[in-house]
Amino acid sequence: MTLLSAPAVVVVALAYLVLLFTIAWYGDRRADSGRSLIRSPVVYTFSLAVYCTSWTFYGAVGTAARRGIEFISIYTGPTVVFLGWWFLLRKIARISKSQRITSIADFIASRYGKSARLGMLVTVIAMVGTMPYIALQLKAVSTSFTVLVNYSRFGDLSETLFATPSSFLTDAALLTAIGMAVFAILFGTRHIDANEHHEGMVAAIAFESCVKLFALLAVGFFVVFALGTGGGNEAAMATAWKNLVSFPEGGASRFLTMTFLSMAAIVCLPRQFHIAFVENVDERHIATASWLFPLYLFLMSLFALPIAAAGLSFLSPGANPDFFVLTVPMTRGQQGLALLAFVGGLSSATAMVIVAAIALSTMICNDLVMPGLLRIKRLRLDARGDLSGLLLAIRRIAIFLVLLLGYAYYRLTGESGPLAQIGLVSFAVAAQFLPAILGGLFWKNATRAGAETGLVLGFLTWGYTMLVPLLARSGVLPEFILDPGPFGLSFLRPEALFDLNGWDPLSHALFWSMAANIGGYVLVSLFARQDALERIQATIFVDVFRRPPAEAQVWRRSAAIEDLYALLQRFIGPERAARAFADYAAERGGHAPGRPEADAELIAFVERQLAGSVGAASARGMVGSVAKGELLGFNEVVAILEETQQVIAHSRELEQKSRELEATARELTRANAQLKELDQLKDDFLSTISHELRTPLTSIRSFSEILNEAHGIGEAQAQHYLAIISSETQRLTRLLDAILDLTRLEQGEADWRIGPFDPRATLEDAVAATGGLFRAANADLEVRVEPPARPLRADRDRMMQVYINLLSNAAKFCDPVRGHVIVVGRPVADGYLVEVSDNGEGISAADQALIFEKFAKARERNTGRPSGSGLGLTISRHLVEHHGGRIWVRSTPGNGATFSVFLPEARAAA
Amino acid sequence: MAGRGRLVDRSFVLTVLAFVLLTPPIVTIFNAPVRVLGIPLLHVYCFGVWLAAIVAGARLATGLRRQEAEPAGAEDAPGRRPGSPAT
Repeated sequence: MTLLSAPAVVVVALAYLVLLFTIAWYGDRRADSGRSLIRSPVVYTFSLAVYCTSWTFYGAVGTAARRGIEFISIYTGPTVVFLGWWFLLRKIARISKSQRITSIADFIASRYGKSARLGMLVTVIAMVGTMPYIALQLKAVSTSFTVLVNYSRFGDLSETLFATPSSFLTDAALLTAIGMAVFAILFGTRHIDANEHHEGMVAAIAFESCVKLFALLAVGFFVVFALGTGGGNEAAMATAWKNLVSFPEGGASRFLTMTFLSMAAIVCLPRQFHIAFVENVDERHIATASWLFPLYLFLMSLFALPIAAAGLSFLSPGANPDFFVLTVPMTRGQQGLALLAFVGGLSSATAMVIVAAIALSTMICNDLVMPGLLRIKRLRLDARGDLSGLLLAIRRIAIFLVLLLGYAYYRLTGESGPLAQIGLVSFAVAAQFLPAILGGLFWKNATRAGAETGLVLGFLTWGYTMLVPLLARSGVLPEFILDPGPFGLSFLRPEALFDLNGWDPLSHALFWSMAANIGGYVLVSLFARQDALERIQATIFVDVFRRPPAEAQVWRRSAAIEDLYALLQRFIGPERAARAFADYAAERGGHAPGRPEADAELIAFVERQLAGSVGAASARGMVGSVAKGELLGFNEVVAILEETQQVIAHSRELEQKSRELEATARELTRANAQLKELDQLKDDFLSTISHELRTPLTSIRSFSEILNEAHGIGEAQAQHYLAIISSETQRLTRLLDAILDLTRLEQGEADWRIGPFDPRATLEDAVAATGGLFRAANADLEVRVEPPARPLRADRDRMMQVYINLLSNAAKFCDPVRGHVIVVGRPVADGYLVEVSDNGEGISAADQALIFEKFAKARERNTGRPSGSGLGLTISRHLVEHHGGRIWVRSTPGNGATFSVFLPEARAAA
Repeated sequence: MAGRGRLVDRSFVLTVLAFVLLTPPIVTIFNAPVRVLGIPLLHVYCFGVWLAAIVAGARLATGLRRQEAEPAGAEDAPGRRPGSPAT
């Protein structure tokens, strides 16, 4: 039992906190030396897991034990939002980056015309909503500590264990609060920067997320594998599963409400907004987080039900299910595991407290205190020296204040219901921001007045329907408010407003607050007018992915560069200010720093830089103190915006049109070239044909003239001339036949007689038919023909024509003295290949590409080769291709040529 | 490979589908006294759908990010989505 004695637990907890400080310190040091630890989507995802607080760590099991599957709605809601990252998170991240947003209050204020009042409103609401949440974490730490220590002291879990410890000094909650305040001050307010990145803090939060996941998985594995399958406990576990509620009776509306709340919370909770968008260093990390973060939530939830089941079956019925994660290992004597679980719970509580404190302190400083101080003219804040010290002091005080208030809330309310109940109260407050955010992102006409009305109405309704019952139950307010209602008016009962009965209190409160919020927001927006700055900010937010207008467009103001520079360096220091100005100059291509007057663009730039450290509303006020001039009227701004949009639309249309024109022109050029080529081919064809026809015709005419006119010719001579005439006539006929044949093939009119085809027999027939040619050419013929592997289908006569053509070409073109021709027929993959090789002069590479064209041979007529029709190869190509085959030639000039004919297997014979 | 517009559409449908499948009334359909390997059907269903949505989301996110990195499609589909599916 010594492992769980109070000193031991305190030492472990302190050691853990020291480790946390070390990691944050190391993260900051790495960031300072430019080797950031957090430029990884995995670290980003783990830092997002600050969502899982001790409410998750302890409370999920508690909810699972009380209400079954309902607990997952708190995790499936964010899953859905992250799956839809493309539509919402990406847009918020892009805007936050370009507008240098520092908090959710800054985001909303900035969207609605950089309104200081709206920023204050959001900050106040966020503070009210966060206090119970921080109190919840403190309560969880304190209670888990008590459970752990008392169990080891008394050896069992009696009801007295859950009493709040009385002494302040031994109060784990107070110690935690102080420790976290120190951490947040050290790593959350190191310096004022133009972007709110706290790398050390983010690294520490990511580490805490690893710890709590590991601890919860460890307990889960222990329950499932050690308790569930070993030691004859299956029966007990089976009963436990039976005891577990799977879906609470009438829980559908509450399930839906909780899903909606968690969807809103993952965006609207100040700390989630801070870690997801303000601390985000790379927008692309969101893409990875879109599935990795849901996976984290999935793993965190996976064992909640088994642990709940184990707790229900092994622990006495009075045990608090919120601490099953601790007590289940303890009852099995697993002290080490219990201690690990305690550290996991501690890590989830501290992470939440740290980020919430930093996010809130930024809001309090930028959106509450600074705008207030700027309004007090007597302070002459705009004329003072270095203000970054003031900002840091405000933030540090704010952190202490936040934690002090959280602790006070915890001490006051003490034992007010289970953890999940408190958490949901906070979620319901955060959800009030949702209409203003979503409307701001997608609805340009939403106005500041609308947002203010919606927030106030929603918040008041929340207070009445949710906070008042809570206070009445804990005795702060009289009970009669709940029943029969204030002044005895039953329709004013906070949990049955306007006599709306039969809903669970959570859905009831959310329904009324959202109805008031959205109703006020939409109705007032419909009738209120935007001012010029609102309009331009609305356009910048909604159109962030199009080309948003530049804010400088709508200002007609000027300032001395010197004043601007002085203003900037008062907040971010001389070095950073100098760098910012240099960057700006470089970006614009040399903005001479000597020029005394700054234009609207530079003023807008400085305002953006300032906004990164003090928020949009304060930055606007401060720049306003040095820049003279005014905003254009609303109508002028709208005109400019519309003009910009029109110009964009116009230029897009033009671009589109010119692209289309270009495409058409290209198309036309191509068609023209094709036509020219065809025309050329036709001319060639005609001239070749006339030439080919003229040769035999000329000889026929001359010989017949001789026969006709001369009388002294002998019989033998006359016979010879007649034979020539006859052979020339035959040649003429062959030529015309070939032309006709080709025309039919080209027009697809030829008759085909496709049938079973034996290439071996056909090839042998072709060899026999051309035997005379080879003898006449005095050439050897070597034939090696194998049968086909599989049956082929083809038109036998046509293929015969192809083979004969190749063979007669080979006979014609082989070496005139020692002619040698090889014919090879063999099966190959998918078909049958015939190769005819000769040992002639070969064909040049240029001619290889041409010889399958019409009359190509005619072009090389001056070689003095015997002439054919010049169409043989063209016809062969058509024939082979009709069978789905291929014909080609390989040749090295001087080394003969090899013609190959490939015929595919049966399927090709159509 | 699917075009970016189609990936965006799929992403939208996945988001809506995940919401519908993981909330009542669909969820309550599986609230039956049936057990899969000793675990209530409702739990198996919820965690199964959840995991499947995560896997699908991972595939889509990879595709979307790759296409976003290409300069050709720098433009979002403006105004096509009236609002976040998250609400």
